[in-house]
Amino acid sequence: MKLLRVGVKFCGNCNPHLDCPKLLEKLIQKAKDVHFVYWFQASFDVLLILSGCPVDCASRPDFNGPTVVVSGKMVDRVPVPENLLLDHILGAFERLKEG
Amino acid sequence: MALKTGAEYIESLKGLNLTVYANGEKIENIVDHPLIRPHVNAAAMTYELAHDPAFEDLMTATSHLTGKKINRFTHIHQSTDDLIKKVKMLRMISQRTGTCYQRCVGFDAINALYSVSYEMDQKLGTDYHQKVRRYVEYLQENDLMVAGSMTDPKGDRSLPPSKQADPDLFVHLVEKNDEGIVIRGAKAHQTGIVNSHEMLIMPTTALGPDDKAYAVACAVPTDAPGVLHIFGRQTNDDRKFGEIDQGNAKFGIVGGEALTVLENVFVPWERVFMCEEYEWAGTLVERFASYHRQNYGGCKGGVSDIVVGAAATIADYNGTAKASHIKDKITEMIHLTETLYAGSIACSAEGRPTPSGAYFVDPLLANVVKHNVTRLIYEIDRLAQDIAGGFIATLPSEKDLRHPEIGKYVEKYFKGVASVSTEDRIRIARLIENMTGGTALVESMHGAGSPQAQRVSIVRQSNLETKKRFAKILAGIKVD
Ligand SMILES: Cc1cc2nc3c(=O)[nH]c(=O)nc-3n(C[C@H](O)[C@H](O)[C@H](O)COP(=O)(O)OP(=O)(O)OC[C@H]3O[C@@H](n4cnc5c(N)ncnc54)[C@H](O)[C@@H]3O)c2cc1C
Repeated sequence: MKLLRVGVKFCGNCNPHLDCPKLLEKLIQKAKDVHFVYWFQASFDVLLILSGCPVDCASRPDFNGPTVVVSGKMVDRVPVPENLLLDHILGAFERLKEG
Repeated sequence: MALKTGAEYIESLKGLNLTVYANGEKIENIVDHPLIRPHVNAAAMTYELAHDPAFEDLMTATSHLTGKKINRFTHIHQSTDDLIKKVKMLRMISQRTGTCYQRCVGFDAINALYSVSYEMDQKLGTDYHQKVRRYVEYLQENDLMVAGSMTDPKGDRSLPPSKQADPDLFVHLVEKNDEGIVIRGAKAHQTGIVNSHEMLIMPTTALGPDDKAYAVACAVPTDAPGVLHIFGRQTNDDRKFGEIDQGNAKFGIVGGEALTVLENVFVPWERVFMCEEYEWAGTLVERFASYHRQNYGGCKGGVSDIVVGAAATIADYNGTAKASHIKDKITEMIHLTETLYAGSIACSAEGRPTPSGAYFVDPLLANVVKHNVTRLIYEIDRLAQDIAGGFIATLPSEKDLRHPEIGKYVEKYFKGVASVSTEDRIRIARLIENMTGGTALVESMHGAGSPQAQRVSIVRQSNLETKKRFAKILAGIKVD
């Protein structure tokens, strides 16, 4: 099984509606077939932007591939109940893997 | 060696040979001294957070000089996005320190000097800008902390520098020679200077031809021969020798200010960025002041986030959180906090490039932000004290709480709701007490300039004639 490599970039967290570092910890625990790296550490297949609030001001690294954006309690701009955030992000990874 | 860690920063301070006095004593080890350590801890956060992926987007930038990743506090703003990120960074750090972490003053000084030196060179044919660029690169490469040294002691405020009874009340040139210059005087209220590597000296006011000798901008190591620092007292600083009574024991209150005396300090030409060009002093002061006033909705926004959180927590602990007037007061505090923040974001979003390429804030809006801070912080803090109750002013000490005989009475009679420990109630009360009074409040009034300084700038940039014209047109008055 090929692991999906996800590059993570945080916004800087000046107005965290969401604890993004904790969200990442939970994602790492739950997504067994995903390998997470920070965006500056290594190459990746998917960019995951973790912005603490809806402003989503995280600057984007040079990357032309697919991107999943969490901005506060939204995934790719769709509002998501907080308890379902993980599932929505993992669902987005799944769809990207399937192509 | 760009991007020091917090520990590396603290270690680097141990290598300095500073002359510091506090409370009538010479301080040999500033890093571990209880009066100074909290400020060192706060400044160390500007280093440590740059290494955390959760904060690096705000804490770091790419140097336009070298292309390397650098700490944002050493960056020259290249866009409005940089200006906005500065404000967000300040709010984020304040939320973690609850106090001043000191590094913005030097940050603003290098940005002001960067663009003004460029304009001076264009007009005068001098070579200051290249020297400023080399200096900024040196700061970036070594991730150094710079104190922004503008305010002179000023003596009789009604007189210009050259008319003072004592010529040293403003920093001035004493000698120029082949190798450099010698300066004398002092800088007052120097935030973070005893835990900075460098100080960037600038004139404090616009100057005329008689004040030529006072038109000096230069960089001096904080431990250069002839430099001496006298650390300021703060409200309640005897409490620095305990814990709970400090409120914010780890990071302290405001920035740890000092009077820095300059006794015939030699500065090599490479580090001199203005020398007798008195016509440019006012421009430099204005530029620095605008950058510095930009900050206050960011840093004080973050500090107020803590005060709001503490007020809401004490309401929970007192059993008053559900009362409608308490909820309303918390709402008002949030409203005021976001009003401050909005101004800082606005003056950054309306920023513009200078001829040097570096970006500058909108000075009118930046002055409005700081002017609001001179009032709204008092209102935010007043509401916090209202919500907290009088015990923030009358609480017994930590020693009484821990006392084997009377501790039980402190426990018993300072209890709020049954589910919260008395110690936690006292801790949050002390945080409110220390963050909302004394030294902490005065910083909001005078830091980055007293209110009148902002009013002068505001009216100067207000475009008043156009407003009069609009009114006349609507009123049917003939205008040209
Ligand atoms: C906590 C704190 C940190 C600071 N950090 C720094 C720092 O890091 N670096 C730095 O350079 N400075 C720093 N400052 C200094 C700050 O910029 C000054 O306090 C401010 O500019 C006011 O100057 P002053 O304190 O000398 O007050 P004054 O200038 O004495 O002002 C007192 C009052 O007199 C009025 N006044 C003054 N002069 C005149 C006049 N000629 N005519 C009429 N009215 C007048 C003022 O408007 C004000 O109302 C800091 C100040 C504080 C409180």
